Formats: sequence, structure tokens, C-alpha cells
Amino acid sequence: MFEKWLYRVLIGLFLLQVLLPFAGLIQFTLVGGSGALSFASFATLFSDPSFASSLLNSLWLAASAVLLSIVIFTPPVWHAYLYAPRLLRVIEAVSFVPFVVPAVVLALAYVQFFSSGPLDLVGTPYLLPFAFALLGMPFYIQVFLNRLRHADARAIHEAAQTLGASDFQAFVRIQLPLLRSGIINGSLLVFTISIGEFTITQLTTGGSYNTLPLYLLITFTNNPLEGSAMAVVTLFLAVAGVVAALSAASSRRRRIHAVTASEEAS
Amino acid sequence: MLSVRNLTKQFRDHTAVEDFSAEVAAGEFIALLGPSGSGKTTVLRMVAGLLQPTSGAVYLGDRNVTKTRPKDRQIGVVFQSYALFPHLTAGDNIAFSLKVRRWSKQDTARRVDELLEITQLSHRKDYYPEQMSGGERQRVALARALAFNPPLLLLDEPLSALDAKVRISLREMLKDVQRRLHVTAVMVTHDQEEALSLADRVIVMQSGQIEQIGTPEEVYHSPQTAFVSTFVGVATPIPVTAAGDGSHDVRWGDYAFPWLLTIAQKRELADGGTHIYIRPEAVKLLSAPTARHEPKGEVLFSMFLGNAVRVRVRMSDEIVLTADVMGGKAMYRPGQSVFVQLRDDRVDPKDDPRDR
Repeated sequence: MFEKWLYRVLIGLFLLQVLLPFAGLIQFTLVGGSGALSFASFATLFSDPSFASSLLNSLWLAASAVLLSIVIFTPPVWHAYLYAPRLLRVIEAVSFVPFVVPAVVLALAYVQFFSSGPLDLVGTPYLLPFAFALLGMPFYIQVFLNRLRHADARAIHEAAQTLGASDFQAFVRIQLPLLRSGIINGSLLVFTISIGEFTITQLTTGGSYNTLPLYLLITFTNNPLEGSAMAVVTLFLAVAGVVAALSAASSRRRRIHAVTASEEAS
Repeated sequence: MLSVRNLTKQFRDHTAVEDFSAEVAAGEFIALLGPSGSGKTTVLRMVAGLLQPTSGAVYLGDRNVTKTRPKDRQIGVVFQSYALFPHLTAGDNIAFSLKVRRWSKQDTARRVDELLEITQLSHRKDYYPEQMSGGERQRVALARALAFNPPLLLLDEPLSALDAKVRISLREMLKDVQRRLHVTAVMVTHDQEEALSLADRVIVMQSGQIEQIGTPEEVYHSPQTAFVSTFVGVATPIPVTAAGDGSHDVRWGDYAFPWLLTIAQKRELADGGTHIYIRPEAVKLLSAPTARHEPKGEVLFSMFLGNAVRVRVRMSDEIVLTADVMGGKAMYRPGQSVFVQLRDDRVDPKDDPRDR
């Protein structure tokens, strides 16, 4: 009995710890300094043209980073998992570098490397998708590897080959559907990391390129008591919620599918 | 039909398969039997083309396929984990090889229905693998491997993940399907009962090498090596010596008996000692010795097996015999004294054992 209550108290504390800051945030967004409930802070936000442009900028950067991650990370990890287990260990170790090294260091390395010579890209946003993909790499690779390990991918690929499929046919028709959930979940992580990235954006573009996190900082610095800054954060939360829901749905869809199929059959 | 010649597979630090050669006739069912690590799966993978041999060659008919890619070998493979495509239904799994070969829609549908019927899965056509039982998945894997009419079927431990009852019924279905479709089959297994009951010939492997190739009867009744004796069936090795009068009779203590010895055992006997291997069904337990001075032993325990009682009898500190007493109602209590007669049931009454 005592243990049961202890667990309930601990779970309650956990939920408070997670939800309380967000509750305060939402409350501040809606009530603000005026004391009355209003959506005025959202109106202010949406009427600001630099908000729209920063949102668009962040979206295309994140989308490009996701695309780059899928194209650059998926094939080598897949190939190494199937045919070169020792190379895979190297890839896994290397993939953790961006996780361990602080973003500031990565940013400075980028600035150093791309500020001269033929690749004089500092100050432009074109480096950012690559930088974001690199930041998301440990997460993408771990999620994708997890799916590979779970899916018996090697035996399934061999089965497709013995049945007469070429490597390309087997990859497109069998492996991609098999590993889809890993690719989607990895992409969602890269996307959220990219949307919220601040350090590298600030340091490589020198603040010349407006993204959502930079916009947030500027609005907050100008009017700390205006709710519009908090409204941006609220939007971030909404995005995170959507991402979490999508992620959960991608694993639930199969189950629902399976259940309906068995009902039809019985 | 399949000819494997001097196949060797060297991994970085060890030799998985060494100089493996075997001929398989069309329509034959071969079992590759051995403990884990004996190299049997490695042989299978090299035949399938999933692994390149270090040296040696694989022939299908008179075609050397050693360098042929798996997709061009036309060999059906049933994997240990089934390796079904989880996003495809049973029907679509079976149809995959036909779609890749661009069969027409009608031909594909007809072939899929035919295979579903053969494997008794017609009611599972639109089920996904995760909705089916282990035995059903295994049958889908079999149907899928057979769909494109491969002349050769390879099976990697096909029944090992199933529970005992399903395993027995699937074993019968497997044999039946193989006969009906006249497909040549090579199955890897560590289960000697499975190998003996399914195969026309058994290849016993250990440490990457062939120990013996023979029919199930030959492998069980005339094992050529000590390993085969103990790995195939239950057998207790007992040390014996030559009778001393130049015949091949052997002695165990005071007890002399005529015995059918393998060539290897005869050679060993000439060097001063050997073992013979006693099957449980070849041991007869007596309550009193006869004129032949049967050795005495002490019952350790007995187990009821249904059709027989298995008795473990301690003969000396080193030797514990296993005896199966068929059908009898005799009771064996621990500590009880028994006298042991050994029958050589490898002796065929038609021929004189001394001639072999």
C-alpha cells in the first residue's frame, strides 16, 4: 500500500516537473502583462512580416537537413550493417562526435574552414543544412540502426536476392518499406533539432540570416513583457507535440492495419 | 544435380569449412547434420551464393555457379528466421519471386493459390506475417521459396524455432511437399531425429569437415567415427580389449562377446585398445548372471518414457550405461543390482560380422 502511494507521488512529481514550466509559458502567452485572457500576442506575432520570413527560413533549412540526412546517412549505414560489421562500429563511433563536441566548437570549425578559399560560404545560409544534418547525425543513425537490428534486415535482404531480385529491386521494394519507420523517426529528430538550432546559425551567419530561434531572441530582447516572444515558444511546443504524435502514429498505424485485416479475415 | 567440390571457407582466424565435397542426386533429400559451429550453415550459404568460398566450386548440373550471384542461381532458400517480408501479405510474399520474373497476373495468381493449397494456407492468403503463428509463417516461407519452381531447395534449420508438436506435423508436410514437387532438398539441422526421419542421406559434419555420408540406417547403425556414434542417437562408449586368441572377439572384464567392429575400431584394437559404442536399445538387463559371466552394475535411476523405461546403470566409476527396456513392466529401483548383456544390433543375421 505504502509503495503504491510512493509510486503515485513520484509519478506526480515527474509530471509537475515536466509540465509546470509549459503551463506557465502558455499562461503568460495568453494572459500576458495585461491580466486579461486574449490572443493578442498571437495577432501581434502573425502580423509581423519578419516572423513569417524567419519561419519559412527555418522550415526550408530543416527540410533540407532532413533530406541530406536521409541521402547521406542511410545507404552507408545500411550497407555497413549488412556486409561490414567492423566498419559499422567505426561509423557508430564517429557518429557520436557531434553529440560529444559542443555546438560552439563545431560552429567555429565551420567558420574556420569555410571562410576562405574556394568554399567561401561563411555569412550565407547554405552551410546550415549540412551543419544541422551533422548535429542530427547521432540521433538519425541510432534510430535507423535500431530499426535495422529489430527488422532482421540482413536475412530479409538475402531472401529477396535468392528469390531473384536485383540489389536495387530488393532495396526499393523490400528494404525501404521495411525500414521506413526508422527513416521517418530519424528524420523527425533531425527536423526538430534543425528548427531549434541557435549556436551554429548565429556564429556562421553572424546574425545576417533570420531563423525562428534568432527571431525569438530578438523579440524577447526588445519586449520581454510582450507575449509574442512566448507565443513563438508555444508554437515550438505545438511543433514538438505534432512530431511526437506523428512518431507514435507511425508505429501505431501498422497495428491498426493488422487488426482490421484480421477482423476482415475472421 | 548438385555437386559441391572441395569447398573451403576460411574466415579471418579460423577455417569454417575444409575440403567439403558431396554429390546430390536429383530428387534427393539430404540432411547436413552437426552441432553448432560445425560449418553446416556455411556450406549451405556457399551453395546459395550468399557467401563466397575461399576455394572449391559449386556445380548445378554441369553449370559452374561458384561466381553466380544468388539471384541468378534459381535456388529456393528457407531461412531459419523465415525472413518473411513483414509489409506484404502471405500471398504477396509468395508472389514476390514471380513478380520479379514478370509473370503475368493470371499465372502469378494461379501459382500462388496452388502453393497456398499445397501448404494448407489458403485461409491465410491476406494475412500479414505478424498475424500468423510460427508454423504458418514457416509454411509461407516454404511456399515462397518454392514459388518459382526452383530445382533445388535449401533449408536452414527450418523447424528449430517451433514447438514440438508443430515441428512433427511440419516435418511430415515438408517431406510430402518435397516428394510431390520432385524438388531436390538440402536441409541443415542440429537435430538428429529430424535428419534421420526426413533425409534420404545424411551428411554428418564436425569442425568444418565431413565425418560420414550415408543413409539414416548406415549413419545410425554403422557409425564410421566415434563422433558419429555419440552424436547420432544415444550411445555409451565402453573400453574393450582383444580376446587374445586372434579372433575379433572383444572382452570387457571377464565378459567376452562377439562384436561387429568398424574398420577403425579393428585398427585401434590391434594397437592395444578401443571403445565400442552401446545404444540404449542394445542393452539387456538381467536379474541374475548366466554362464557367460555378464558384468554387474548398479541402477542409478530410471525414467518412464512411455513406450520404454530408460535405466541408467553404473558399471564402474567411469562407465555409466544407458539402457532402454521396451514395453516391460519391470521396476528398477536405485541401488538395485542388475547384470548387463550387450547385443550388437548392427549385426545383420545374413552376413557374418567377422567378414567386415
